[in-house]
Amino acid sequence: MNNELNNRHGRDKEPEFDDPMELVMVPLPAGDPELMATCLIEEYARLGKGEDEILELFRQPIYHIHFLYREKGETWVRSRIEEVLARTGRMRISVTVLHQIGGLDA
Amino acid sequence: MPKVYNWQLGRDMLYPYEESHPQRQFAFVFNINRCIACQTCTMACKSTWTFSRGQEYMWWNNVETKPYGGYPHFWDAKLLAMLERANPGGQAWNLAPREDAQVPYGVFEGKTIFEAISEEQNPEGETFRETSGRVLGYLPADEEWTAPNIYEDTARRPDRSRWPWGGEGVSLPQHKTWFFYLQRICNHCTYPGCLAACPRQAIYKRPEDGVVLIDQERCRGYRKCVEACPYKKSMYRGTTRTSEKCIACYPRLEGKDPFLTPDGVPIETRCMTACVGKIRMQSLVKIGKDGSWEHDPDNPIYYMVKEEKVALPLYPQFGTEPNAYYIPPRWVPTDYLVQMFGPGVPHAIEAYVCPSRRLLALLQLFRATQKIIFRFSVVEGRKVGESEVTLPGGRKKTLEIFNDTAIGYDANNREIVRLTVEEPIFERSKQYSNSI
Repeated sequence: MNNELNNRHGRDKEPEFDDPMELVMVPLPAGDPELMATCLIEEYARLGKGEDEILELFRQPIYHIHFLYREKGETWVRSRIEEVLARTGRMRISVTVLHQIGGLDA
Repeated sequence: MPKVYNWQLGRDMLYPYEESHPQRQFAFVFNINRCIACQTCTMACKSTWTFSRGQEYMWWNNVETKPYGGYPHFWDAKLLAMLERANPGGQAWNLAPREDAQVPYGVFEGKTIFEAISEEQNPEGETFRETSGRVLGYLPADEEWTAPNIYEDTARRPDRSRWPWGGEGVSLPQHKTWFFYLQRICNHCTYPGCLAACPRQAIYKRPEDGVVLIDQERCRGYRKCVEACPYKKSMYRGTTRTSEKCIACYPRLEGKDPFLTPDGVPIETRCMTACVGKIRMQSLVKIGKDGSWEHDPDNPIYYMVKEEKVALPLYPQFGTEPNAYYIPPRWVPTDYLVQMFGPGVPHAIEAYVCPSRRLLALLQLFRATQKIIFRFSVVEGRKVGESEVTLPGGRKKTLEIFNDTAIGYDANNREIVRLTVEEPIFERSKQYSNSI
């Protein structure tokens, strides 16, 4: 792509606020993405997921939490998972389903 | 104009019709904390009900990324702004403590979508039904129905070494903030905005289960319901010139499918059944003649909504008394959540982060069976572990884990599933694997 085209790329254009399709950004002053990561690890641990399974979720680019994986790297994510699992363990649940619905996918 | 009692607001409110309540109400709980937005629910619904011509843009079930996503675009922010314009600075809750079970979250002193339009269009004291509009709302433009979820999560293209089919894609600034996924279907409201607005009275609430349906014979496609539904879950179909909406998979709810439900018991909707994240639970709660929920602490939805108050309605201030309840995400700033789920948020989060013994057992029953659980019980076992949890505000509490068994029963009071919480596993990390 030559320079002229690069200059006309959408990402380089100034926002126009009367454009109905323009993405609107608003500041979010509060909140903590790292706390979010910790909470999510705890949730998956309660569902019985282990270290590797949880790490795989962070690796998925279609899952938004991936932005922390990109930013901080796998070592940081893995250490955070280890830290949480050391504190909470992972839940183990045994399941017995009676009167299962038969046939095809219900 | 009639007044009806809305327990979520803790007061009477204006509504175009007199109170009339079903015997039971289709109600459900979504645990936001566990959703990964895999959209399996969305596709299960789509492939069952909205795969035909004219329905291409219809997503009766959708999962959107908050705080920046929405379908149709900005649906909630737009209506909140309209209400604020109609009642500047007045959309507030009175949180004076009350012991009344029918006032669980305080009293909403602002205006609902039914009251805001009344004030706005009725300055001369005309009766409600004579005004041109019955409900405050708006009709989304076509472009607002386009591209659900696009770039909500992945503004940047995926890493091509792992996802070779990703192509070049686009590259926008990545969201670098907290987020959560909001699962949305029709709320089958107690006081539906769509029903209030329909000039043909084509929308009705079924007396047996409270499901809100559009009579396709009566509907003429005026789209008043699309305009009025605050959650934007009524959608217009150009090919039939009628509006359509979620039907709560009522053939499944009735348990009349000879193949899927040969024993005649109700089974969960497609979106609930398909949930791989185990975040959804539905049931039918018993409704009294006055519209209140009959005391039934063994019903899983009643227990979570009324006893533990761990699940909250979405935008209760709109005034429709929605029957979808959400366990709010515990990492999101409280102010944001209170606007979305009402003043019950701090209590709900505390109840969820450090759940009671019974609630912890019940949480295991989410999506454990395809049959609808009408009753649950807990068989208590010994204590098998404990861990320290951090509550909002930094307070610490000890969560005790017991070897309890949660049992679910179907509509015929027959046991259908049981789950036992075992001793938690602590795995030594690799670096300490030989340190004993």
